[in-house]
Amino acid sequence: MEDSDAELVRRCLAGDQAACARLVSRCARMAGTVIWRAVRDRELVDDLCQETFLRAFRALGSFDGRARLSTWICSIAHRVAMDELRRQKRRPQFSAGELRDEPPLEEDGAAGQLADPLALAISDEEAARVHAALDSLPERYRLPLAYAALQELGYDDIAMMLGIPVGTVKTLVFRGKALLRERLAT
Amino acid sequence: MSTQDPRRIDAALARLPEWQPPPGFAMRLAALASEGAANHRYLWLPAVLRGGGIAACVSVGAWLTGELLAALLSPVPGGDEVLAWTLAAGSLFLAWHLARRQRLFHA
Repeated sequence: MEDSDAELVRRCLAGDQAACARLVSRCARMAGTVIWRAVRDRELVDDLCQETFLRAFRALGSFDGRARLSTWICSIAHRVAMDELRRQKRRPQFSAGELRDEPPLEEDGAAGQLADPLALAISDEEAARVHAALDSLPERYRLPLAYAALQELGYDDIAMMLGIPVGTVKTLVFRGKALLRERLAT
Repeated sequence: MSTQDPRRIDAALARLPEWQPPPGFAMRLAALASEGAANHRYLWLPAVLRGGGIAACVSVGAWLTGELLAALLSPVPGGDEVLAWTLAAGSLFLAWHLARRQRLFHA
């Protein structure tokens, strides 16, 4: 049976190496994918993911269980990725403060969860066009959209990662998709 | 259906590649974490050194600003009180801002 987050954290803090390995196994794919989508450089992901978990282990004592452990680690992964982008002087075009200023979306225009990917078969070429268009979006729309495409991340998780309200995440995803459609139409 | 169809865009986004950890990644990190835990008692040291540096900078800055403002405000009645409060608030704000920038309190 899988340990609960609290139990896993307690065992890691007690120095149980197997528990530490289980924590990494449980969250590594998500954390690495978050980093990859943020920095867009596959070569950097291994090192940055390692940095994420080392930071997580150092700060594990401060994990208070208010968010899921995976969300907490993805938040650290996002910060590690942002630090890397800053180091490369490819500063992201938004800050949490900027995102908070996004005007709220009308209720009936709220972004829905992404459609079931299995419901539609699309060609590799079509997917590649969408991915290229996504890469061309401004960071403020690209990141929430790229994170929302991860099945395990809900809007509330993304809100916590980016440090912005859930409504703003929905707005950014909705507007990001609209922008994506515009770019694909040209 | 075209690529602008929202459902097709969602389907394409769901096919964004996902990272897979290399073999042995979890075990390697668990070992590193254990090593880190062995040195855990020294982890506060860099934060204290950085915090000390920030405090020293803020103190010197506050002292120099204080000297300057005192010279300017000395003829003004009640100037000393205004100066003291301004310096206290300014120092606190600067210390908080620097600590935040240095990420002293974040993982």
